[in-house]
Amino acid sequence: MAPLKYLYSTDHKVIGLLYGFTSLCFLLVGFVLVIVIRWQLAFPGQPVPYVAGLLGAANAPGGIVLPEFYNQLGAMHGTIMVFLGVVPLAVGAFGNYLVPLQIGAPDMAFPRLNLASYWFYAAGGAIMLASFFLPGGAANNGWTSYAPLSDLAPGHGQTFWLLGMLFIIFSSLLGALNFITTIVQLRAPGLTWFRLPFFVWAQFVTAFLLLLAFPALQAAALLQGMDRLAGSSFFLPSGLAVSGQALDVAGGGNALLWQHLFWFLGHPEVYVLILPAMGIAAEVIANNTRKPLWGYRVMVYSVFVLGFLSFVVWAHHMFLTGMGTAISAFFQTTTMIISIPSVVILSSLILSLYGGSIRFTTPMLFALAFLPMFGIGGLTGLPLGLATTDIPLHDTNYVVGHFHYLVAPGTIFALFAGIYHWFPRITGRMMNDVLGRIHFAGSLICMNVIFLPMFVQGLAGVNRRLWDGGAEYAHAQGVLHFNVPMSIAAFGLAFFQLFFIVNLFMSIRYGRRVDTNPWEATTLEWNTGTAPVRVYRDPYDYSVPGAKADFTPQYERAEA
Amino acid sequence: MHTLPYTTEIRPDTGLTNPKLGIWLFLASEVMLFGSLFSAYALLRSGAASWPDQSAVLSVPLATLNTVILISSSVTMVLAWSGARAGRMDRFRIYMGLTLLCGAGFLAVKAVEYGDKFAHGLLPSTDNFLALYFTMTGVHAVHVLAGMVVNAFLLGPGARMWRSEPERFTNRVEVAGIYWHFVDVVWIFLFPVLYLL
Amino acid sequence: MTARGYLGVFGALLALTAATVLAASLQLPSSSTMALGLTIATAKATLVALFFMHLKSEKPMVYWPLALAAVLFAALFAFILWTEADHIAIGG
Repeated sequence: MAPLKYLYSTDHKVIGLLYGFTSLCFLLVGFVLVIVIRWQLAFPGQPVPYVAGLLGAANAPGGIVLPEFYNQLGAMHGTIMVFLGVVPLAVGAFGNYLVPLQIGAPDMAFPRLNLASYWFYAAGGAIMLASFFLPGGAANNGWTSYAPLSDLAPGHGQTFWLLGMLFIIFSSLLGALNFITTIVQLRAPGLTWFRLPFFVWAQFVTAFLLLLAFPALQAAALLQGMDRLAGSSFFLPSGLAVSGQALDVAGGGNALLWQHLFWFLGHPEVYVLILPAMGIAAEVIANNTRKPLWGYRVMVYSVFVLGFLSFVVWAHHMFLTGMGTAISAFFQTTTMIISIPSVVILSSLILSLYGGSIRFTTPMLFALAFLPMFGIGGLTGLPLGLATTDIPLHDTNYVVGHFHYLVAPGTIFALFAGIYHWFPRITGRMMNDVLGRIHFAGSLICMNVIFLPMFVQGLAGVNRRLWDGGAEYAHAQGVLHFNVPMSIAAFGLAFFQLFFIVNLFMSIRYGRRVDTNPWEATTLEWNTGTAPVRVYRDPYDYSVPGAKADFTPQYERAEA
Repeated sequence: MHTLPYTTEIRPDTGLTNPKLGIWLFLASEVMLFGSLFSAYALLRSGAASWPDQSAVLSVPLATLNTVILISSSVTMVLAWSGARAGRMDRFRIYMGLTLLCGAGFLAVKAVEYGDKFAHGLLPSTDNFLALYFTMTGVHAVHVLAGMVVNAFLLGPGARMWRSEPERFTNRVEVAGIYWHFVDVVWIFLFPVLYLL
Repeated sequence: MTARGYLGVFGALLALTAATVLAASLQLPSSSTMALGLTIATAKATLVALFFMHLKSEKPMVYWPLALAAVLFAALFAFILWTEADHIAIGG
């Protein structure tokens, strides 16, 4: 299908598709990892069926997942999903493909840098995957790689993780400056800032988050690399003993330094995960309600406030590290305040439905479900953002449920909406509607069955990252039984993704052919004319009184 | 590949070319990278039970020399750009050559410093001050090297663009210069923080 | 700026370098040395940025990202120290 020349094209659409294909593969890998995890949680100590041979005797003798391997699965599931799956899909694929089109630009500002970004990402991904085949296996210290455990982790898996992250981060930094420069400099004539589709604003703020937050993790990775390879003690305090033996290092380091640098990136990172999704949801909702977004301007201001605040809330991940009450109060305050722009954006999207002529297309189903799912994710974050309530909930399954609601039926649903929505722009064909609706319904139900009980388990005190799901703990006994239906739902979720995968590949060849703007959308990416683009109107001129159709594209001249 | 707008000519409402905005955005991220390292220094030093007398461990004279070298290279770099802008390729070549020489000199002095430390058994594993010293100056040195690669390209094969697109070439020199000056600025802070304080 | 102007800045930078080395040799209390050293460094950096990097005549679209980076760096630096201050025995 793809000649070799697609691998070194500097065209943003080709690069966007490279990112798209690669990131979808990584999402699948990350998903397979968690399927094994969910088997172990539901049936601890039982051999994993079918794939036991693939896991390897070192990781799972007799097909029974060892704790060390379970930890690898957990750490790499998180790492791969966040850094190799969701963000490259949301930003690298959707961003690269659509931003230049939506602003009427011929390409990104730096096309060759764009290609370089993709290959740095691919290299980082390859390093991460390769780490599974090292003698000691892949990194197994959580996606957060906390020191001193990660500093001292035996084998090279953690070192490969650090190296892989350096490549991925470099890719993101180059990509971020490319996006910002493109949006600032290459908007078509007439495309003033407040005529930009909300999707572009979301990508713009996301790029700033990546640009200014990732370097902290880069620095941290370099410091941990020095600890692991050069014997330094950046994150190793004095007097540390491992297995009863005093560690032969200089000491004087600070394990919390890792946490600060990691979360300085980590928190903006979660907004990197959600903002492009909000952007996609906004586009799909405006298009399928046949009316402009409610509160467009307020949404734009909110996304900037959200972006800025996201940099000053990070220590809410560290409430249990012994910080003083004053600094704790500061971070609790900023964390509570940041929920405001979040809610404003969500409310605007919900209010956008009011009075609309809603078309329940497959993309719209995903975008509609995004709203309450994001709502649940956001609301469940509130007790985590207040230190007192965070104390019993920190590091429990409650947290896992919270962020998965935001990323899975949140972001990933929005990404699905985007794929179904923009598929005809990319291929000139529609995806199958029946398969799409089955995919939607099955995924929605399964995701809720998987993640809702996690709140119950967390409230009961079940810790995250336990290889037996908490079976050894008395306080967990009452909620362990949830693991079985949760895991069955996870296997169900896998089954329903087949409808999507088959649909995707089948529709590329056999999908119903459509003309250039099947959804009757207003934004520039649906304009496939060759004349230079000029913009005359706002991004969502749907149902304008007196207009000849219920949508007026941005490039259509205003009436004289 | 079609020519993208505002690669060489300025976009009226922003007053910028794409590369000019791009390099400043990159430097903003570099501020965060080195800023993270300086923050690590501040935390580790303020939390340390004891901290070596930095100027006794490191060579202030060599570092002062390196500071002068790097500042000089910044002057020669901006004069190289000035020459290119005035259409004087001879001046560009001389000053860019001097900039490269200064860069090489800086790295040579650093090699001498590192070698001396290693010879005395002073390693990143010895204590956190040395770990920070090697890491921060090491990351900085990598940036110096990267800058030298770009500058060497502009002096060598890249200079062919002078004939076909002189304005675009001059802008490239300016952008490379902005990066190079930043590397100088980082050293301006590394010098007192690591050697003198 | 003319070549003469650049050389003038060069001279100022050399003078400030000498000043910083001199200040360090005065054996002042460490907080004073730190304050003096960082002030002089900031002055040097400002000269390089304004004149060599032409920041003096740059556009708002460049100032904003830089200002943001400066604020965020300050936040990272300050909050790390502030958060860990309870664990740190300052001057210990």
